[in-house]
Amino acid sequence: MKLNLNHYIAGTADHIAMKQLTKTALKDTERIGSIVYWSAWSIIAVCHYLILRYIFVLPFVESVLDSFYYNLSFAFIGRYMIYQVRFLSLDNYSPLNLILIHSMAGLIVSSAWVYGIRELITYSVQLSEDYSFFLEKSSWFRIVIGYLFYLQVIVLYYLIEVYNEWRRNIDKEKDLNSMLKDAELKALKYQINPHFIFNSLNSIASMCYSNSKHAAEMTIKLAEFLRSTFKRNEEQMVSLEEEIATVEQYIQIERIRYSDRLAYKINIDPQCRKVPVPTMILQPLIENAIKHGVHESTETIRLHIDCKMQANQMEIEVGNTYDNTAVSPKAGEGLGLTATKERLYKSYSQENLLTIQKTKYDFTVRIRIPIKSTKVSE
Amino acid sequence: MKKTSIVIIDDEKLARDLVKTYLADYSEITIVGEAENAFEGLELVQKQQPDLILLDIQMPKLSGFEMLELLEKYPEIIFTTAFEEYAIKAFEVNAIDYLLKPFSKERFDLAMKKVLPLKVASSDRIEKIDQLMQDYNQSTPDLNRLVFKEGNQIHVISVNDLLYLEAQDDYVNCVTRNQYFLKNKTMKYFETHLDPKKFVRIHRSYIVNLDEMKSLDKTENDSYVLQTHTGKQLPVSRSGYSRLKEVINN
Repeated sequence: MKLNLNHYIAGTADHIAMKQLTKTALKDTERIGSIVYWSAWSIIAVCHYLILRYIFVLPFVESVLDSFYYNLSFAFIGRYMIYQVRFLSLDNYSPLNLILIHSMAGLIVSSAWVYGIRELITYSVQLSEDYSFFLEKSSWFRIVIGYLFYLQVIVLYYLIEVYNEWRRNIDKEKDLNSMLKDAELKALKYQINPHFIFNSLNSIASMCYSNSKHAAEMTIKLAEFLRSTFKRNEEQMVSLEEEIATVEQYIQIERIRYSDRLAYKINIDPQCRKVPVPTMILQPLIENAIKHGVHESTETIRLHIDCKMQANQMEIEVGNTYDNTAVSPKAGEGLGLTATKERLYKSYSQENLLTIQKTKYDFTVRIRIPIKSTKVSE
Repeated sequence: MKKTSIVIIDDEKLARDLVKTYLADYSEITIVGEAENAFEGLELVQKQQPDLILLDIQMPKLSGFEMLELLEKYPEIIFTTAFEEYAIKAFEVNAIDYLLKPFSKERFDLAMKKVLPLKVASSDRIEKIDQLMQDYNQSTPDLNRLVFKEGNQIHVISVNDLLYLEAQDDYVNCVTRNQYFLKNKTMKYFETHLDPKKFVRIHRSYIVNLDEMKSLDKTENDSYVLQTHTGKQLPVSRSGYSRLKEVINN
């Protein structure tokens, strides 16, 4: 009884130590894992030897050999079982199949290991009677321990594989998300409003039947407008002249759609024409004016753009009439002017460059552009 | 042979013209009217009772869907829109045809083929379209306005004007300071589409606008009652009470 109990303790100690060691064998920390793994096995081998030598009182040589052969071989088996796991992956085999396979494999591996090593020891050295007896009696016990160890390690390795897979998926997701954000940002940069594009194309399609000359004109206008929006990526600043030209193209395209529901007037001081402004800075203001003005009214909306030169700044005013009885269909639709405010702040390092004035009939946005010496990019 | 009558409702003349061009081939169809907004559209549909309407969804002040909410019975409908990120799914799920602008003659013909010959107005069609309207806005709680008819007058009110909503059989009674009107929608619809921080379902039959809440009182038999500024008393269920608490405390 004492023999069995102590053996059991020895075996369980191996067992527990092994469990703790394999847990640390993560892919990322594989090297550290390896070092720990082999060091621990060494310690176990030493304990194993000590137990045999001093508790079972077996001869020195036999104790050393027993410990050395069994532990070293088992350490190797344990270490390389990971390849078995990768081969018999969860992707290709059902859990039930894997359980069956490993249940049998464990038994085979364990038995082979115990008997194989036993033969090795028997043939390498002349054994004492005590030890021979011990060797024989402990075989079944070692098989059981080996089997349990095998199953333990197999399960842990599968868990490690699952964890790694999960980590890989998280990383993949993170990459996707950042790519999406990039794409979203790019879309925002281009500021292409799909409703505008498709409705304009629809108008062109219609005009192809009724007035092909106008259809051609509108196509060109649309192309020119789109070219300007793409330009925004390359050039940070344009002359006010150019900016107004782009915005006017947009208004004209919209006017073709809405015919008499949109009237506009542009008034630019000659001095303002060459002043550099951030590219597409006025576009959101115009889109806003049309969205809250024309889109929510059945009557004619008047849009105006004025530009005046003052002491050390240029003032641009974008105003529109609107229907004050209209309720917007969706809540929480801000005016989208925050982005414009931020852009102005980034370009000129000044706050309060954008002001809004709302009366019963008019909505006006004013932008101040400080005059500073900046190169106008061609 | 009786001709099929059609009404074209779209706020852009060029869009309407294109449809008229496509319809030139259809000798069995007469265009009995054109409308450039939903108000005109409603009047036209009620007056002419067309067999089929081509309905643009995005229109000023009143959308195509909102116009449908004010109709007693629906004709056959083909919806048109330039761009809809989320709504396409709603159409497909409910097997209702839509045309994405700009659409080709071929695509138009396909839609017409599906719709003609006309079927008798079935309750199925009404259900499908009602379901489409429920599915349409992606169930985001950003409903900002409600429409209703008073005789021939169409009213559009902001949801902020609502005091509370009360369930009434298949309808919901919407009460404002000056009036009340019935909407053919479920309480669940309002619960999903109204801002939950402002509109709380305090009872199976009541949703209240929190701005209207004056006090919350406990009655003798351990239940709660909500007092509004207008002096109305609304019952509060147990789950309603916990919902209220959660919103108020946050």
